[in-house]
Amino acid sequence: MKSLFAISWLTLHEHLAWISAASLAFRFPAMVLSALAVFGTGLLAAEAFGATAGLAAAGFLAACPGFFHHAHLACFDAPIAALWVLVAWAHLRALRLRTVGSYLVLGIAYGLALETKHNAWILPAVLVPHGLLFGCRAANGKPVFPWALIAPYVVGPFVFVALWPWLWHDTWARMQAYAAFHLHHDYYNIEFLGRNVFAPPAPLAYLPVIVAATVPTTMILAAFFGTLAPRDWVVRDTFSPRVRTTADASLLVFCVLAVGASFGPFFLPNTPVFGGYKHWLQAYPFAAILAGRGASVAIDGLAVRVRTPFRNGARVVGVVLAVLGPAMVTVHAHPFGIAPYVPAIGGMRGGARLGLNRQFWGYTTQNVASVLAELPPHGRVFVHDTAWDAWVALQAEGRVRADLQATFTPQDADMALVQHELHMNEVDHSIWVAFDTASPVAVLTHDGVPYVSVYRRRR
Amino acid sequence: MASHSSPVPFVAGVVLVAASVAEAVGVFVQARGGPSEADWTAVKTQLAATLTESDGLLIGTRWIEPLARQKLGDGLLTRERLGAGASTFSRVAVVSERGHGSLPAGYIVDGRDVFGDLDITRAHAAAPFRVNARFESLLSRASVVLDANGVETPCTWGVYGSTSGNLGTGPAIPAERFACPGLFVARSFVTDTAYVAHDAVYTDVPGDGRTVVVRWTDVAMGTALRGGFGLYVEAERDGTGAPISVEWRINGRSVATLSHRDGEGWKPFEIATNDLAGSHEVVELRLRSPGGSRRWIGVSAAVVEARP
Repeated sequence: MKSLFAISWLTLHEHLAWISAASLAFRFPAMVLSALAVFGTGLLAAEAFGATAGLAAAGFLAACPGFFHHAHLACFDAPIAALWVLVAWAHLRALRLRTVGSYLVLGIAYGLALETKHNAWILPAVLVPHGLLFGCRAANGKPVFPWALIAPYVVGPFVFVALWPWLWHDTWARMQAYAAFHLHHDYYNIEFLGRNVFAPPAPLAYLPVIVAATVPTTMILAAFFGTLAPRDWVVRDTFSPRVRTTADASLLVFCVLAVGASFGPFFLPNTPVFGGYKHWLQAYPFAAILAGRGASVAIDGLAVRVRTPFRNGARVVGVVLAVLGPAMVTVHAHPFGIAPYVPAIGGMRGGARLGLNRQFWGYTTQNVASVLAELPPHGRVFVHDTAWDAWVALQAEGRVRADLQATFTPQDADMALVQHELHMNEVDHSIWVAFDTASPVAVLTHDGVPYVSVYRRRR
Repeated sequence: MASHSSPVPFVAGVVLVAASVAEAVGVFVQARGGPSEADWTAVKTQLAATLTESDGLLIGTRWIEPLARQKLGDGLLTRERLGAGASTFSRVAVVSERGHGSLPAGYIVDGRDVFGDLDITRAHAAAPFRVNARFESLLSRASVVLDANGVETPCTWGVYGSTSGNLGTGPAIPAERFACPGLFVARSFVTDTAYVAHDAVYTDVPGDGRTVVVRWTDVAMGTALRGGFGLYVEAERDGTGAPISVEWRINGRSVATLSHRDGEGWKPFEIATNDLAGSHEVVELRLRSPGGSRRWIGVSAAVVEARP
């Protein structure tokens, strides 16, 4: 993915100048892959459960605020979700076709997933049990060897190494170093229910609470219903002639396994917290497929009461209505979509009351640019948690005044930012001393909830 | 069509569409709520009219605290009110968002006023008292020495370069402070393990056998010394540091030796001084530790006098 980010920047920004902002060029590959994830999610759901399900699944994923937010970052989380969808498609296809070509495609897809992010390590927990359940018998019922279970681990590592030049030398040692980096990753501070969590294990309630708080409630309800609804409730709507009942069970089980395998590690005693829901983001396309299945059944329960000529139109209206709520949550969360607390928990203020994290790595700095613009020329700003490269990009692209000077100590600054996270309180307290005031000149809020405080040194 | 024979899909359809519409409406409703400028103005006016200098002002809802500091200003949210701790205010006003806040233990509610999305709860301590002195406020008038087995090395009050930093740097060290050989004693805000600020006498206790001694003279004594102490959060949250002894002496006589072990967080204390009420004495705070790695401790204390 890093190579894609660089290639996009080099070609679309530097050479062709099709994308004027360098940061947008860096983010573009993730956007494309995320769009493909939405498309692939819809396609998988449509093939197994019908067009209504496909449309709803694509809608639920696109309108899932956490996925939408990460789809616009130069990060690996939405791309690995896209690669999981690709592997799912290749795996299901390989089980059906049983050709060397389909196994090769599956192996390459898995290699690309390995290349994208280490969440791919979890995929065998999905592919193996699913393959054993659905890949050991041919269509005529005769036992067959499930080559699809082997292909990812034969072909995948070659793709992984081939596409990462760093691994071409000292391959084994560097693979170990890569694994060690992730297995011994620094812990991050995360506020959870008013407490700062900074070391393993993650609280058992962490994942369920964060999912309930950040995934639209409509999507969760639809996903539960889609998981539990019996196969014969899935209607072969007239504009989806390719519905297969066998695929229904196969995809349903795959999705349940994918969600389970993505969520599972967060209930283990040694799993640390080093971030929020992005670490299980790859579950969301499969949750969206389950939600699409549920929405399809539910919407058809309404559509059958409409006269036949208008039934398909009613299904489309039903999907639009089902996705309306999630879409509103997503639209409203912008530009603070990293913590999109849903109305069911009281929205942003509900999240704040519960003591849930609301930002990460100081990505809100651009939103106080107008306050920073009040500084005299070459004014100095304590940029707090703003990543240095982000600050440089903000200035290079004219999002923050270019003459301002970033400092890393409040005592050297004319203005100081504090991006509010619980463990960042100490920085706030430090500024009170350095600036001899506890009263910020501006507080950036969303739905009344503070995100960034800006202090100005007393003259 | 099997689905037609069961009422469940129809009911599910109604529920799904209703949930989605409710979610959409919920976004609109929640976007319009929250404390308004008018609410804050009303709260500020009320507090300015009713708070006396000795009253505490607490922010009961944690997330509104940055807004409270901006809207109410340093005039109302003074350094003492921000960091001295509720237990050193006989009367307190607690500002909360829609009642999402709690009173400190041992306080009795006198009344509650609502201003839109904000409210002020007025309360008084079950055992009323007055504060004769706050030690951190009087630091510049104290003397500080390093005691190495009875040999005292004086520290000098002055204006030096200040130090403050980003996450993990520790409490800011203000320009005005005592400079000692290899360390400092200053008034700063110390962030405890609950990420609460404490206005405190702050120092880095050496682990080489020397004792940091802060000595206040002519202290108007009351019925108790009351306060708390704790380490900067990142200095104690891993639980690997040496314990710190916190000893209080009055006129050279030890009246209490307390201790702090990593992980204990902010520890409140109260030392009875009934015999000395009304007199003026020399009060000493003595801090020492057998190990010296990041023993960044803050001590906040006041002389309180019980009132009938």
